[in-house]
Amino acid sequence: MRGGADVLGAHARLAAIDPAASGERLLGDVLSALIAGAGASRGVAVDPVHPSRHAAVGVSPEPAVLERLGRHVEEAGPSVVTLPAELARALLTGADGGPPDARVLPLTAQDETLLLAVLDAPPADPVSFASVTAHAASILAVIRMSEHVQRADFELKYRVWELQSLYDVGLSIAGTLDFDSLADDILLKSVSLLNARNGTLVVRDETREGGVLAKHFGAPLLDAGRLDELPDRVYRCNTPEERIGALVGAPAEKLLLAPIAAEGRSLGVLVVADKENRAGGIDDFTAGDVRILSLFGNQAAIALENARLHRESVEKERMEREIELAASIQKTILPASLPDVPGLRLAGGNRPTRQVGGDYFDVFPLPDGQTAFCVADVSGKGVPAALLVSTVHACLRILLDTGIADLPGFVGRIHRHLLGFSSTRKFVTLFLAVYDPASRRLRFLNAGHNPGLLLTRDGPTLLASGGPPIGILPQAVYREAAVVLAPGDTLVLYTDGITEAVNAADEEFGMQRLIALALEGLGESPSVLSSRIFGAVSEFTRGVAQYDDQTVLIARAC
Amino acid sequence: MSETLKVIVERPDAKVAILRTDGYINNTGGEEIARQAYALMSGGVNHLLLDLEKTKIVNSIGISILIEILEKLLDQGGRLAFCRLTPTIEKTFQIMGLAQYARLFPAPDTAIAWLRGESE
Repeated sequence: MRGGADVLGAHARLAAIDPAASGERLLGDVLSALIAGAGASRGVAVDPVHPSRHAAVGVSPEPAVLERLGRHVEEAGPSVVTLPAELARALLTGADGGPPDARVLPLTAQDETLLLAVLDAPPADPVSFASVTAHAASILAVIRMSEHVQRADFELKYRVWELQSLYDVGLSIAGTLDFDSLADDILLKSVSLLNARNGTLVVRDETREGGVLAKHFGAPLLDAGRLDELPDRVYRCNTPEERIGALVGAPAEKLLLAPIAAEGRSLGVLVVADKENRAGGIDDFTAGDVRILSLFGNQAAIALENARLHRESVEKERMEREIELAASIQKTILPASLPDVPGLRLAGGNRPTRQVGGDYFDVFPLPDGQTAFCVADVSGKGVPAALLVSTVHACLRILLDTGIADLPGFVGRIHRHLLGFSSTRKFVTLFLAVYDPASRRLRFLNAGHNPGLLLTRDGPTLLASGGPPIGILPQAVYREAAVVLAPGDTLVLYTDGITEAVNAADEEFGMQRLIALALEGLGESPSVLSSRIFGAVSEFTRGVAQYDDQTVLIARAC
Repeated sequence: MSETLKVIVERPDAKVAILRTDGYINNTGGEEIARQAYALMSGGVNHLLLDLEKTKIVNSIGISILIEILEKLLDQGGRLAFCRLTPTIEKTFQIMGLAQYARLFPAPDTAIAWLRGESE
């Protein structure tokens, strides 16, 4: 049975609606007022902007019918004003069957549909009912406006959040050099601000195993080893056809990629996937999303560059400290001046390079009037080389007290000590000589060093006999050789920093230049000859940076 | 890092419930929190504490769902508190207005005391 219209009651109901009300409660309140104002007994209302939101009074529509309603409104769009008659009747079908006269009633304002209602009867008094619909529409319009304002407010706050996030990352970049945690931060903020489901950040990093640093939120979107197969610009993949290179096969529906690059060099990539919406679906990435991800990509690049520059600066500082330390060790070991010894005139010197290598020379006057002298070159540079020089120096000093009658035995003991001491495949080349002024006999042992250059009246001779470098081959065998020196005979010992000094054309100074210089300087004192050799090498290299120390030791028989 | 949210509900007493989250508060995660919250509210529990200790990331959809939960709780005269937020999430909640009507606490104890009305 149809009840009478209660227009005043309808207005009272509408007036009682909380302006802050929303959702299905609001729909239900408005629908109740419309039913009362029309004198109907049941009805269904749907929100055209949110088709899944509906209310029913006096009837319980089947879920399948409500689903059809939602689908229809969604397809028709938010300006929908009518429903198929069959759907309207189905919505109101109750225990007594569907009403024959289901009426679809759109409430509109300024061409916007605010609510779509289906009532089971036309209004009993259309003129009075018009005031009810106008009242309801005005309330809904105010609430809709309030929702717009709320959405705008949310959008505004979201922009502030976006700016704050970028600002915070900027601050973090300035405040830390830990790229690992910055990468986490940048990835999380990108995923969060873009409403993405997944994200991956990959950067090249030679200091790490595999040469890359990869961070993932959710399933990895990229194979870190395929960075070269990615676009070098911001790239959107909203459709499968847009997938290229390493993006093919990424476990996501839609992707957005921003390169991480500095000064034209690709450092890595930041990728996010599947921008979700409130309905549970996935939206396309927009131009605004491109802008945000690009900004995060740029910040990642700045952070990476900062970290790299810091690493380089620390490394440079460490090397400089090491060089200073190595130079100081070397300075304490090399002789400041050479002693006067019986039967020989000695001169020599060492010119260290910036990297400080492992050159060593020394002269040891022995108690029996003999004199031992040597030139050595240890492998490597810096502090490790300086420490090895120090070890060789200590061995020589200690063992010389035990006698040097057996040169191969003497060198063999140092060799065995270094084999046990040096676990890092360091080795030493050594030219060790012992001169007996009484017999004028020079015994020598060349363990893998540059050949000694002996200049006699018969011409130059190279002294190479001895064995391999010490400290490298466990089974090494050493042997000594000897020559008798006439007055004026001159032995020039040197390291490869002399013969392998290079000029701007990458030519080496070479053995021939050294021999020619030594022959020319035979009439000069050993110290003048030594200076002449260093001067000639400087003249040859003309300021080109050298990587090996340069050492010369000259012994002339009196 | 996990992208799927898990929620564990604890009931320290009849009036208060704690929802401990672990994972991403996005649309799916927010819906799960809402489902649990609305079930508690329909059972008469209107004082909720969201413990976000194991949540490191939240997006705008998750925030809008949290705002919906907050509105419903306030409609029913309830209270909503959050605790153990990361600095980033705390700042986000301040910016997005959640902290205007819900309270943020560093630890669960003080949050529960506030929900019970034992402190202001």
